[in-house]
Amino acid sequence: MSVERHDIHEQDVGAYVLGALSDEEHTRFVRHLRECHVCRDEVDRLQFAADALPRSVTPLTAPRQLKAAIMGEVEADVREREPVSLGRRLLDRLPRLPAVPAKVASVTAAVLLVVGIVGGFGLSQVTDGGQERTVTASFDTDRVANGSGNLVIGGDDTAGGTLRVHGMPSLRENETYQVWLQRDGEVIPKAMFSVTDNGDGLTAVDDLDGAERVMVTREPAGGARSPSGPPVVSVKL
Amino acid sequence: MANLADEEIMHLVQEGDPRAFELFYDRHAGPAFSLAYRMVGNRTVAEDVSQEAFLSIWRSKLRYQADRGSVRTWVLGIVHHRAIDALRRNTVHDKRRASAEGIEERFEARERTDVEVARRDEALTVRAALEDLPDEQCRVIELAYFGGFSHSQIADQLDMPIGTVKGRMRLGLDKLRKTLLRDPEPV
Repeated sequence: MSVERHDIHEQDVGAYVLGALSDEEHTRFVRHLRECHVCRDEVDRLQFAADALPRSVTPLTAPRQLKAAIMGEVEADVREREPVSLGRRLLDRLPRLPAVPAKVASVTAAVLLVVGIVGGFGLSQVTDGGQERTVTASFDTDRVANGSGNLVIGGDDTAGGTLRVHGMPSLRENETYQVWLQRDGEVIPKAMFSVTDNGDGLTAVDDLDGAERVMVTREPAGGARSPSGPPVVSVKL
Repeated sequence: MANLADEEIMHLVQEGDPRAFELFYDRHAGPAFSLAYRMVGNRTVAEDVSQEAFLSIWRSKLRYQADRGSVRTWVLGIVHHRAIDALRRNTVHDKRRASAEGIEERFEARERTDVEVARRDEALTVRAALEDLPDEQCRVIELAYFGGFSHSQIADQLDMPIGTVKGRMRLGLDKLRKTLLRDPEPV
């Protein structure tokens, strides 16, 4: 462990357990934690206090309609379960999300595209490997300084593809990366995935037929109905 | 099923058992909604945050890891994260104070059960420990945890160096920990 690096990071422990570090600082601190047992011990110690904070709030009773709304969705999910083909079952192993209202998705798509273009995403490169097509992913270099990756699409676009990314920032405990498809002006939620300590990630992307762009955003765990920010990864098809 | 421990209920939830999920909801909805409301200060947004949190647990089968704390702590962590997302996405900060009146009287849990009495006692204990902190330490902790502000935003708001904010967070949490360990420990 580098003493200098420890000195730099030890003051961040409180902000880390309170979730008050910026994304970039969080990534650096998590990397530091892997090699610094002193800071790890300090995080464990202070986490006890941070975990007590939500218990200080005035206890309220959740509104009745909240339970009705949630259990209504749960029951609907259960009803939708039905015997399916092996291929469908594999796709269904991806986290499921509710449909995105078209209006919301269209507006969000426009915002994402503008931000993506202004943000300086480079053009993707396409390599045609006969049965497969490999499209190089573009990264928002402000947020993913050393990202690389590609989307490998099968010979038949409807069969989907595989998105590989490297050098992605680490996620907070309750975050996920989420894939989105842009098609006909709509942004459609797709799979969620996490990355390894080295920032490597891999996920299947289904239903690419007619898709114009595949994007990745950082979202709260469980995913979102529409992107909550501009993409960190973009693959133009 | 009602006698199962939280950890056992979570196992059934992760297998997609809707009755287990309902029991899980009944046990944790009150604290989850209370935290969401404390953070966003708006009933509708608090309901949205709670709903998103519970449905994300149901749909994505988020993995609960027993070695990282209780089920309650895990659920509240997810709610906290969703509430911060709502605060940053919807500028709820501006609305919260204007719409906060009245709800606590209408939805405050009545002391009908032992569980509710325990929740109220626990809240009083932790709040007393927070109030025992020096004001400047309590303020930065509350702005960060309940307000969802980053340390640099807090430094801007309070017009103080970032290093001072970080130091106060750390000192405050350390003192809070020591106080809580002296007093009855939160469940």
